[in-house]
Formats: sequence, structure tokens, C-alpha cells
Amino acid sequence: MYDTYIYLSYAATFVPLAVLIGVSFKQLNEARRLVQLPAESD
Amino acid sequence: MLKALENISAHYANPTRFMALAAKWHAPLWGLAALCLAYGLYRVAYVPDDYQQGATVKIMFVHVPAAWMALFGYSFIFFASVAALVFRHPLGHVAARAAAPVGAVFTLIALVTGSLWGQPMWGTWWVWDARLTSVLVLFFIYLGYIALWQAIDEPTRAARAASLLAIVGFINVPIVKFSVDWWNTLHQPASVSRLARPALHADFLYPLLIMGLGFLLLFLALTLTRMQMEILRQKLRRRS
Amino acid sequence: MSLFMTLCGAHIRLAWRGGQTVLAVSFLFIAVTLLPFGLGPELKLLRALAPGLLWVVLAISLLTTLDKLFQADFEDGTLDRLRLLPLAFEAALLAKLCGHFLALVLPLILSVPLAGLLLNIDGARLPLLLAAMVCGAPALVMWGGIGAGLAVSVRRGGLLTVLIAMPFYVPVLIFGAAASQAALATGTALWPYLGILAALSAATILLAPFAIAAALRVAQD
Repeated sequence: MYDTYIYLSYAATFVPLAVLIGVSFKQLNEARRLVQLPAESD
Repeated sequence: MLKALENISAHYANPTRFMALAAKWHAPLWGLAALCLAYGLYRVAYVPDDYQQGATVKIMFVHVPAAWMALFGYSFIFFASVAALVFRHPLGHVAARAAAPVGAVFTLIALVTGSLWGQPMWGTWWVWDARLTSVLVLFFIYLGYIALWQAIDEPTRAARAASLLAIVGFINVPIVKFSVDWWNTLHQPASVSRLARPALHADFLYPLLIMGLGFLLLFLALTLTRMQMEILRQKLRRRS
Repeated sequence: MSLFMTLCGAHIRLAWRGGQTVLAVSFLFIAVTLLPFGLGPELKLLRALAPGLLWVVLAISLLTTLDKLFQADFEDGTLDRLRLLPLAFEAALLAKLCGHFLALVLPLILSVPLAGLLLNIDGARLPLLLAAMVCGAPALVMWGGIGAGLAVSVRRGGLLTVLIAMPFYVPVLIFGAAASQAALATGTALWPYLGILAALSAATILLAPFAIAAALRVAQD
């Protein structure tokens, strides 16, 4: 009966973390891509 | 020992050298974090039911490490800010800014899981016990810190203001903790000794420590990722 | 010393002429008036909650006055001139904060008895409440000043100031409200709580000007 709370807690833990991880990597890759750009056009 | 640390931090103060170091350790750190968390979750799955709480004791294994990381995160920001403002370490601001969202997310997780843990135990979604209240205040501290970074346009100015806030705010954290603890004992809620410290049996302690370590490695891995991102963004800003 | 007084007086005059005192006190009464609509008009309930509610309303009213603290001077260059005075920058800022306290916070505290009337406050608790507020309000002003200093370069930074200052207000509120409850609750002496509040205020009065000066320097350079 209380298992719902356990599942919700683990979801509440790992879903935000997954979002943060995803966003951080997206930002990192975007920054890497932008840093390359002018070097290519030189 | 201190001199060695000084030398290391001075050596990696150069962003290019740091990026090289980061690139080398990035994947291994993430791998280690993933392994540790996987093992931790495995151990938690086999944790016995608690005498009082039943299976919901399993929530402790995410709530408590998250709360630990919430505090660790702000301490990290404090030391990085001191390095930046007092010792003028070039990577101090980068480290602090990178860690902020990570700490904030862990704080939010601690709050939500704390609430979810409380519902089966005391039948309410929120309770103003000392720890949850302190974590809630800490959450606002994180929000203010991040908001300050966002609000000031000029990056150097934003960095210095944010570092100042982090240092001043850190002094306040023990005062808040002390006053909230005291306030809680004053208004003793009906159900006493929540989330509190009976000595943990080994069956519970070891999985907790493993999860704690996993969360710590995850924090460091995420911060390293974000630090690389911040350094690159800094480079882009300098170019334009 | 006289320079300190002059600066203090200048800030007081600025606040009065700008109508800030009236606005702040009005805000306090508006907030108190809204409370029974949320809580219900039952007098016994209001009486029980009154000291704590008044503390919170005082703190929030104070927070609303913060964005006027440094912003105007920052934008028109007065802050730069303050730095050039023979008086230490920190002292000049302390003078401004004293002016702020006298012009805005003291009227708020003086309004509390009347506002308390609206909440059916127990008359016997009023002196305790006021004493606690006088001891604790300086700390609120100082912490608020730090928030205002950090956010000074941000246009419309009022809400940011509130967000930054809010966590700092928690300990003061806790001890302030406890002081107001003290004598009635267990008959314990009021002095320990007032002492803690006074200590918090004294510490912030001594240390905050340095933090605020540092924050303003960051914004000006």
C-alpha cells in the first residue's frame, strides 16, 4: 500500500536528476559546437 | 600537504590545462558514479523492512543523501567563492556557478522525498520539522544565489556579487540551522522524533553510505560537466 | 561624527519627502487588514496569532522598503560621492541605514500597537512585542541592506532583494516571535530572547556595513 510512495520518491529523485544531466550535457555540447565555429571560418 | 594542494590548484588554474584534466577524468567519473549508484540501488532493494516504518524506510536512502548533497553543494559553492574572491583563483567562479543548479536540484529532491516520506508516516504532506524546514530555507538560499547570477548582465560583476552572497550566506547557514532546531523543540509537534537519529543498524547504514557516495560522485560528475560548459561559454564571451 | 549625522538626516529627509514612510506604514496596515479575511474574524484566534502575524507583517513591510535604499543614489552618482568623503564608506553606509531605520522602520514599529488592535492583541503582550521588535529590527535592516547592496545594479531589483534577504530573516523571526510568546507561555524571563535578538542586531550592525560596502563596490567598479 505504501509502495506508491516509495516509487514516487525514487521517481522524484531520478527524474529531476535525469533532466539536469540531459540539460547539462546539451549545454556542454552546444558550447563545444559554438567554440569550434569561428575556428572553421578562419 | 597544503603546499601540494596549493601547487595543484595553481597548476590547474589555467583553464586550458583544467579542460585537459577534465576531459581525461570526465568519463571515468561518470562511470564510477553510475556504478556506485547501481550498486547502492541493488543494496537498497534488499534492505529489510523497518520495525516501525515498514518498507517506506527505503525512501530514506534517497532523501538523506539528497539532503547531504544539498548541504555539500552550498559548502562547495562557499569554498569556490572564497577561492575566487579571496585567493583570486580563476576557476573559483566557474566552479561555484557550475555547482549551483546541481545543489539546488538535490535540495528540491530532498524536499519532495521528505514530503513523500512524511505522508505514510504522519499522514501529512508537509511537516515543519527541523530538517525539512532548514532544507526549505536552504532552497531559497540557492534560488537567490542563482537569481543573482542571472540578474546581473556583466559577467565579472555577476561573479563577484554572487561570490559575496555565497560567503555571507554561508555564515548564516549555521545560524539558521541552530535557530530552526531550537524553534522546533519549542513547538514540539505531536509526533516526536521524526526522521531522527536512532543509531542506524548496519543493514541500513551501509546501503545509506553507498547511496551517499553515489550521490557525491554524481554531484562531482555533474559539476565537472557544467564547469567545462562554463569555461567554454566564458571563452565564447571573450571572443565576442 | 557630524558628517555621520548629516548623512543620516539626509536619508531621513529623502524618505519622508518621497512619501516612503507613509507608503510603508500603509502597507503594514493593508497586510494586517487582509489577514482576517484569510483567517476569519474570530477574535480568539486572531489574539492567539497576533504577535507572530505582526512580526511577519513587519518583516515583509520592511522588505518592501529595501529597493529604495541604494538604487536612487547608485543611479545618480551619489554613492560614488559617498566613497570620496573623509568618512569611511562603511560608516557612510551605516549612516544611511540608521536613517532608514529611523525614517521607515521605527514608524512601522510604532504602528504595531494600532495594527495589533485590529488583531485583538492582548494588551499585556504588547510591550514585550515592541521590545523584541526594537531589538530585532536592526538586524532585519542590516540583512536587508546586504540584499539591497547586492542587487543594486539590477533594474527593478526589488524582488531579487527580497529573495536574497529572506533566508537571513528566518533566525530573527524565530527569536523575535519566541520573545513575544515568552512571558505568556511559561513565565520564563524575557531577557534571554531579547539578549539573543540584541546580539544578532549588534553583530549585524558591526559586520553588515563591510559586506554592503563590498557589494556596492562590486556594482560601481
